[in-house]
Amino acid sequence: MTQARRPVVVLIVLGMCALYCAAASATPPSDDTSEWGDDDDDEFDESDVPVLTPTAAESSSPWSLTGNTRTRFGVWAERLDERPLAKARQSLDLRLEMARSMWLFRLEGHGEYDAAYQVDRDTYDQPTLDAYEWLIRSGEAFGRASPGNVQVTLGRQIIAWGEGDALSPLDIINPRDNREPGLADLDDLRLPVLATRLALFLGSHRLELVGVHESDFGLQPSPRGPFSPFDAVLSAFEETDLGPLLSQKTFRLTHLQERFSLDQQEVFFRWVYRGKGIDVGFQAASLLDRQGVFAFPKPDDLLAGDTVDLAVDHRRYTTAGHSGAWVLDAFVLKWELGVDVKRAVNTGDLAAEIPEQVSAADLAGLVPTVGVDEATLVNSMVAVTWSGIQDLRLALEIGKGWMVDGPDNLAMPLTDPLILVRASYQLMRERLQLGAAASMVGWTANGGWLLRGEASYEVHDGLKVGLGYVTYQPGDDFGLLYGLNDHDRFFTWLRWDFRVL
Amino acid sequence: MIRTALRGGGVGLAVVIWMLPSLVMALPPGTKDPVAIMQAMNDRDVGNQATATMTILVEDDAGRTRTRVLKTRTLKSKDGKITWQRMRFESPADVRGTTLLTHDYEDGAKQDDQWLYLPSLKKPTRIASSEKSGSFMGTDLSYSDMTQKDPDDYDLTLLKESVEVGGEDCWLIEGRPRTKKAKSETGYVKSKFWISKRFFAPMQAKMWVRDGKKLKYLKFSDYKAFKGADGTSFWVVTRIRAWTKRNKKIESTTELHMTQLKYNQPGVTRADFDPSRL
Repeated sequence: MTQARRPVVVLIVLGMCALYCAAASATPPSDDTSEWGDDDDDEFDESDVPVLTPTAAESSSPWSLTGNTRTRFGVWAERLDERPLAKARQSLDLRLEMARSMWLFRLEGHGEYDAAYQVDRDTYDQPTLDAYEWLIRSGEAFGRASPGNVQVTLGRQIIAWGEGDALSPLDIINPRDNREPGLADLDDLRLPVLATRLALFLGSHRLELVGVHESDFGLQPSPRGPFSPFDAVLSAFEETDLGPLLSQKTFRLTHLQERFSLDQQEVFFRWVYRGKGIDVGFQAASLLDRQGVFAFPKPDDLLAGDTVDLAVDHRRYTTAGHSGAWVLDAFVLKWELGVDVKRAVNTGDLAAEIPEQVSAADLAGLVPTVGVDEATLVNSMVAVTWSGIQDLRLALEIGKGWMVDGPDNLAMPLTDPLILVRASYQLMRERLQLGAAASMVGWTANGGWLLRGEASYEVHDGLKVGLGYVTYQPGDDFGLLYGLNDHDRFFTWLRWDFRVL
Repeated sequence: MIRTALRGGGVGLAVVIWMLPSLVMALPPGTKDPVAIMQAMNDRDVGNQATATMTILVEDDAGRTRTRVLKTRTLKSKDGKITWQRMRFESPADVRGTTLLTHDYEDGAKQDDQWLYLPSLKKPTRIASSEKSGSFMGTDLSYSDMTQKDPDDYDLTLLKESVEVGGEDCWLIEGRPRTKKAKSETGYVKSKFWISKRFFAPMQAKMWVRDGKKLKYLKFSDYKAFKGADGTSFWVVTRIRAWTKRNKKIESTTELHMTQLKYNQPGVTRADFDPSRL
């Protein structure tokens, strides 16, 4: 089967599952109640009903301390003979909260350790260990006052805009944890930033002004890390004469912008209406590009020194957009439309072929030529969710960008369509949940595709276990999935949510 | 999980509304009209500006239990045509903070508006409210059980004029869904209601579930009297026991308790139900 056809097959399989469920649900059973095997029709037998006494304690304290601990394991499905352990991560999240009257104070912390990086530890470079082995960071840490129709929030916070569930070109305030595409938990995906948020409520309308004071560009895969598209570019040199030389180098991702600077302040504004039948919103912002543009190291820099910096420049641009949501019976339609004005973009080709016979002298001609230009881009998202059958939910999200003005040789697939299909089904009164998600880059998956299937089971209140499989099928074009040739993995997890106070 | 668990229309404090019969009913004495009885239940004064804590315990056939605690508040518009409801999970910890907001329109032709706030998403998202026969948060109750029924959608029969349940004199009424909408929303082939003549509320109910040919039983108890804003009293049921049987075997049992019930709370205002504030 060709790579391009595989995602179509996946979509067909998902569609057939949905049709099967629909057909099963649509079959009208008989209404003859004599088939119910009932006791007498008017009988109301309570004799065997167990006596249950809810004993949940109700807390009246304004303070609460909650958290969760997660244990996650992953095995590389295509590397079982070499180093199969992909993840052995233990994490702890804590949240202290005080809510009284118009005040809300929140303080969160997150810590994680991945023991998988103890196995063959010397095969990882330091930036990869820094990115994946240990992580201790603060979560949200803010104070909020809500007097009357006004709400002011100051501190590190997460602010989600737009309507999209997974694809959202307008959800641009917070940086992301991009270290493991397709694997991150929703709770972990957005990272808080230091911001001031002022909201004014007028009935069903909300006016909001946000100032972001911190330039945080999120957690990215280290250049030689397991999910870095750059690793594939650099790996192309390994088979050449330059391989031994480059293998001794440490590649490091750096940002040109400082974390705190007065001239890097960002401003966001939006108006949103959520009312009868429809939600609509408009927003505008002046911000630093979360993704940024980079310059590939010059050949001399590549050869000299033990550490090579891949510097990312997050330049300022202006954006404006519109979002909406509308419901019709079991369908929910959501959309977003945004325009990025004069946003810096990388140009060139990063997926160039490297000949096997190459020397250091040839390097100048082989290092990918990556340029920087400006482009005006229109980004869109359309999503349809259907929940017409009990316990089944199907969702389709399509994102697509267009170049209005700019270069025609983008290095990153900013205008390629991104298609995401998700299905979830619940059994055993919501105790067991089955889920599948497929996403592909490009109408023909030329940018690659991934498929994730998962089952989770609630063992007890707050205690869940899950297992699943994710497959990555990279395309030929440079992008998010580029080079993920042997990254399929089985994964399993255990999560316990608790409340201390 | 909660997203699907909470879909459905007219939920939240509808469960309270459904259980709030007034003592003052404009029903002729000795009536034998089941439509009039059901309509009188729908037309009763249900109180307003209410807050409550709902504790739900569910046990399956293997004896495994799950507990859910929710804080709820409700408000009715002055003309009574819109009910605003907000339901926030307190426990278990993994769903704490999840909030469902419903704008329930009396006009059946108008689709309810519903938004779900998930702490992990950090924003309210509009959801469909069409699926009502599904389980309410994994309990033996369905969303349909918690919404008022339009008597015109059912063929109603008064089976017994007087039958005693828990010391209360009751009517026994059978209802069979007549319309496609009622069949789809309830999932029931037929239902029987034992309706107290004193409380004007059900003491027990039995439903024949089409899907899986199951029987569902509901038992209402611990009625408490409250005073409305105009000083008149009304009764509120604070305990519901529900269980589902298949082939004479109990599949699961649900116990629902309402506590900290308060009415006419000035702090319950329209602003509490603005989705833009979620």
